[in-house]
Amino acid sequence: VKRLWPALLVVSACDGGSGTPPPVTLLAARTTYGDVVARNLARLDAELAGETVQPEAIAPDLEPHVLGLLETVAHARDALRGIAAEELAGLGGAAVPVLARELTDRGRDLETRRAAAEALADVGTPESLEVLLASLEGARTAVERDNDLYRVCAGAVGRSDAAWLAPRLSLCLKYEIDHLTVVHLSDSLARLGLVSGLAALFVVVRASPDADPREGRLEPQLEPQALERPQAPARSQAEIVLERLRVELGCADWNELARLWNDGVLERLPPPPSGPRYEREVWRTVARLGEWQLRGVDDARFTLLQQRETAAAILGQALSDADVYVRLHSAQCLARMGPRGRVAESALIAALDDPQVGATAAEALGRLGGPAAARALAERLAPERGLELRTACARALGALAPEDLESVLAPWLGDDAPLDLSTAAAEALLRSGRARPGSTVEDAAVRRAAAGLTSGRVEPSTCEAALNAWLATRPEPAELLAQWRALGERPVPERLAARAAWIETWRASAQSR
Amino acid sequence: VSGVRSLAAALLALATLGLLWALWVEPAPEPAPALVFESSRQCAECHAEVFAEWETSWHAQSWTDPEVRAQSNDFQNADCIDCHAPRPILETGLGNRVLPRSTRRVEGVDCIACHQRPDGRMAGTVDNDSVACRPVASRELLDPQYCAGCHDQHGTVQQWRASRFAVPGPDFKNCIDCHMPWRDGDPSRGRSHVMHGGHDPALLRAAVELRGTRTDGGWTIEVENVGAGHNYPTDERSRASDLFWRPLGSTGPWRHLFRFRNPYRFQVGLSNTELPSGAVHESSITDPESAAGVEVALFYKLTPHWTDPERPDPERETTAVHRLELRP
Repeated sequence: VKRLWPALLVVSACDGGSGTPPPVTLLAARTTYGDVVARNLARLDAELAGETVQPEAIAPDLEPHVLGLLETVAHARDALRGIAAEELAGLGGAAVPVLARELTDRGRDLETRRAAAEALADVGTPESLEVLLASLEGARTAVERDNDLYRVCAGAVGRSDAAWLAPRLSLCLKYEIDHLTVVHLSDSLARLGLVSGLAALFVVVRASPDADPREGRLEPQLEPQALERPQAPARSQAEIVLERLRVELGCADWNELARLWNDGVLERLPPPPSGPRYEREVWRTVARLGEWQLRGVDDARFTLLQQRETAAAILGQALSDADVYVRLHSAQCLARMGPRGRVAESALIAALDDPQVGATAAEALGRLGGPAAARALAERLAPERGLELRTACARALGALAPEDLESVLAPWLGDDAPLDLSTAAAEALLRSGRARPGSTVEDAAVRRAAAGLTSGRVEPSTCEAALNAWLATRPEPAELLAQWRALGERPVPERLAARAAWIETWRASAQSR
Repeated sequence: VSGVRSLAAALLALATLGLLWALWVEPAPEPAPALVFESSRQCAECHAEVFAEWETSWHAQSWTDPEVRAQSNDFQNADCIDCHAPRPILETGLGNRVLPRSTRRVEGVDCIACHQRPDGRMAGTVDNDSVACRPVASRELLDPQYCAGCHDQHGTVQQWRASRFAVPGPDFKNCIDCHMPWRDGDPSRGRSHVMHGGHDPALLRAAVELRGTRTDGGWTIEVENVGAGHNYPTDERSRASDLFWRPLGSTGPWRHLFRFRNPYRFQVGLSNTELPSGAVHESSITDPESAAGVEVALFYKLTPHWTDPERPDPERETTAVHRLELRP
């Protein structure tokens, strides 16, 4: 009875006005998402089904013929070799199964295996290129790399102009440690419209000859034809590739070349990879963003952020997929792609209202957005939005630095604003240089960032970076700035406390001025 | 008529009893107002002991620890943010990978990350509507899947599932049995929120045994994972455990014998040498200088790198787990 009594009372007093208050809903209502990735993969599979050649049984009389030609290519004199290679290529897809077997047979002599790799590149069908690519992708361990076959495969596959190779070659580049193979891969990617190997080429160019023990050891006749100076070591070949790109893209120097790529000056870059087979590879990579283990996700993310407009548009579509991890990591890819991904701006703006991905979408817009993005971000600073999103929007606005930033962020600098938001707003204003010198808004931003150095409640390093950026734009006396820099030599947390005190002194002095 | 009277009397008696009951019974507690938790510091008000424990834990330092800052390049490597400043586990669901958050990152893996439910209430050990956090008794807090969202990224929970500790029976132990033991061994005092692990020398010592025996012309050194319900070491690729030896009585440099570690992806050619739960690893010392006896030591490192890789100094850069002196 004792247990029932309160219930009876509730029933009897049933006026609908009592009881537990409604639960706090942390997540806003979900938008509708769908199986975007699966649907597109199915569509492209159907579209490409007609083009896929099913492996056929090798005609009994063909196998000895292929083997004979391969033997000639591998061991005969130059003139005969050329004729045999041409004839092998002429056999087309029919020769692929035999060539694939010869390439991967570790019992075969290296010359034959190398000849098989070259012949597969000459055949140039998706199936033959797939064999080369798989061989390159699989060569990760020391055992698989006890010879230079992976390097030959890299050079051979790079002779193809098949756009669909681009995503997988990008991933190969991520793990490649052999400098000559790095050059082959970067060169191949550039020919496919992706100048994404620049950073890797710079590493090779800067490396001392001692840093790459394999340099110069390659036999001259095995060098891929794509490189103009076959006998040059990796560093020289990297220089050749960089120089060729510089001339082709009309750049004054290699730094300008890097800027074209990093800043997404798309109109000056070669046409991007495209086509249904390429799109399918991109969608397959997007599907990997949904994997549980971050190792696979990280590979997919790396691959995708090396791509261009076509992939960015696909990533924009993936922001509507039902899998939250696909959406989240797609937004991350676009953020890291930066201006090359600006075709996805409107999709990212829509994703701001995704309760789980909105903050990441805001970050991406901060890297690639235009005026529309700035407006959308400013709208989402409103108090009815979640704090995660508002904070991310304030940071992103700092990166975009629209002209009206001061008035947009000023309302959120006060002590009554949530700490994370007010700190993000302060950092955004100081980093962007949009706070008018001497204004109360500037002072509020400085005070807030300085408080963040020692509060222990917000990230001090970003506050410090914002103050550094702001001071760099101030017309302060050199000796004053030297004091600030000198404090930076001290260890944390002493440094942060000293810099917070320095800012307070500066503010007092500024106010008296 | 008498029946009607009796019924009326009974009803009157019941009504009187009901009135007395209503006056006597303790009123149901007023439901607490729904409180939105914006910081784990709010929890300290009522849960001071737990909060103080958590503040000393590595979970609390997952964002601020200088080692993490260095290895993540001050979190410029954004992939680290997911687990070092996660959104609530129950928001993404048990066993699902956690999502990164944009706010209060300095609080690291905090109260909210583990306890906040999507409905705003807190996962706890009791149901109670009358307090600010309105806890809901949640058995899932005991489930290793709770830890999996972060700690299974490198397979730790899967390793546990394959161990004898996951088999129901006398040996059964899950994550919290070792990493969140009862305070002072007393269940009525609740579980410790220090959540110790690889930073705790006692836990490391309990995880493995080090043995050595004389063999033809040398020594066989065995390391056995006797106490960890997962690989030794586990979880992070930055963790390593190194076996060293030197001639008995020598104060000279240690000589490297074996490394237990799961390498980074880019370390092409290295394989995973972590020691699974219950497994034994054998190493041999055949150096002539070992003939008169050896000192063997197992060290645990929080980062895989040595200040001077040519001359590693385990005494200075690691935690000693076990030492052994072997004489012929």
